Amino acid sequence: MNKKRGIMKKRIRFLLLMLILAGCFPVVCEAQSGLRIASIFDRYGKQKGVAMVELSTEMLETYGMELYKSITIKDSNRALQEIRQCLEADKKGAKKIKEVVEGGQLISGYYQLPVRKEDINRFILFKLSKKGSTTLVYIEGELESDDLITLLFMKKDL
Amino acid sequence: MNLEQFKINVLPLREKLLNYSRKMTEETSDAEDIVQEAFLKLWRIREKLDEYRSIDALATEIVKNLCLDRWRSPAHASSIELDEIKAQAGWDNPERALVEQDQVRLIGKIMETLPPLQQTIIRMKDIEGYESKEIAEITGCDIQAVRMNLSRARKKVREVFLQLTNERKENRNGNRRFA
Amino acid sequence: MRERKIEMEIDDLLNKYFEGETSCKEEQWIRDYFSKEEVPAHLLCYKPMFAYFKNEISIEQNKKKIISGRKKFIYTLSSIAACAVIAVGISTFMHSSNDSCTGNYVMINGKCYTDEATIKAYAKASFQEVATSKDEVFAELFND
Repeated sequence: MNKKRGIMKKRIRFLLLMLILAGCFPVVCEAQSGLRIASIFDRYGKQKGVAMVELSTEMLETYGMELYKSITIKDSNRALQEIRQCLEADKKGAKKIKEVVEGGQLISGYYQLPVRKEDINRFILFKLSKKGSTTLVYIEGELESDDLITLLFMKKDL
Repeated sequence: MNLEQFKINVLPLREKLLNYSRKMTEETSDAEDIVQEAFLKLWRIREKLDEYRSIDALATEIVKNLCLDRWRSPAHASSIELDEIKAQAGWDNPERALVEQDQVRLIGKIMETLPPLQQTIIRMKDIEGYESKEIAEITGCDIQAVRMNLSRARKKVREVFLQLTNERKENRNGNRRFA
Repeated sequence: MRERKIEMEIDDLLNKYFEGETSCKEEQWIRDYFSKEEVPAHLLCYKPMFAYFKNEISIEQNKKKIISGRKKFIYTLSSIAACAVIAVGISTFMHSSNDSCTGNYVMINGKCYTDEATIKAYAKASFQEVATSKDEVFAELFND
């Protein structure tokens, strides 16, 4: 009888372990867009004073984009350090980097990341406004860097 | 189902089953044996007993079948079976000494010719390792009865085995004389 | 001397055995005794009987091992399957509670808005945010 109980305990322990792992699994899967800035969207997206946009339909087709994600944080003092760290990490290996630094700190950035699959270009845009709000934009699409820059330049006509 | 549950659920049927089998068999001792056999059979399938709607009905069915089996082969036709054993154990070649393997196989064959109850009890004791006390509890009879059945079974095996192997020796010696 | 003692013991034990009065431990002892090579001549005839029992016992034990092995296998398989189902369930649940917004949306102060006009407005706004006063940057880019 005692032997049976011992075996039962082992089995229950094993099951619990598997359950915990199973619980972690989906969380691990979530953060997998491969970029650190994904965590910014995840973490700050639902907060007060934050506006987060996600677009992935035909609305973007005319611009040659497939995915447009942006997050604007109004009082971004807390988030700034984190965002800057993520950008530091994500810009490694980038094809094109343009940054503006003021007082030793990054205040705006333009990054073209390495292609992930099938000629889909990826871009990160970052801007800290004079009013203290931060905007982070992530774009995926077939558009080339010049196309994006043109768009940015032609901001009024979107 | 463990032993305790078995005793609670199955053993109370004993009186009823005994009465039933007495009506169907001629000898009381047969009736007693049949009931014991029935309980041992129920013990074998104890894991599945919960699936039956009525254990009472199942037990009665088992007893009925055992009684019918007795009717069909009343006296234990041991002589016929002994011939069978001889044939199967390679008796046809008396010149060849029986290798130990053959002897072991012979024992197996002899076991199969034992009456079912004795066969079951000797298997449970010598092979499956039940104690006599446990067998008594399962069948609801007293421990002396179990010991007696055990003794009969074991002595029978010994008797038949010696008989067959001595017979063989005699045949061999007999053949040699004429060689 | 010792051999004679064991011989007498075995004789007694055998008598007990055929009266059905031995315990399982004693029977084990008898089986072990008869599995040795050296058995007195008058006891040789008992060797096959106990050898038979010994064989049958190991067959029984093997059967039990196979059954318990099979049970373990099925148990492991079903617990993995169960965990997989739970994992999918949890991830679906977490997914749906994280992205109470799906598809195209704007999330403002934690609330979801899926009407096209609002989405467009906010998308334009954020794009303009990153686009404003980047003249210096663009100047650099155009120089590349």
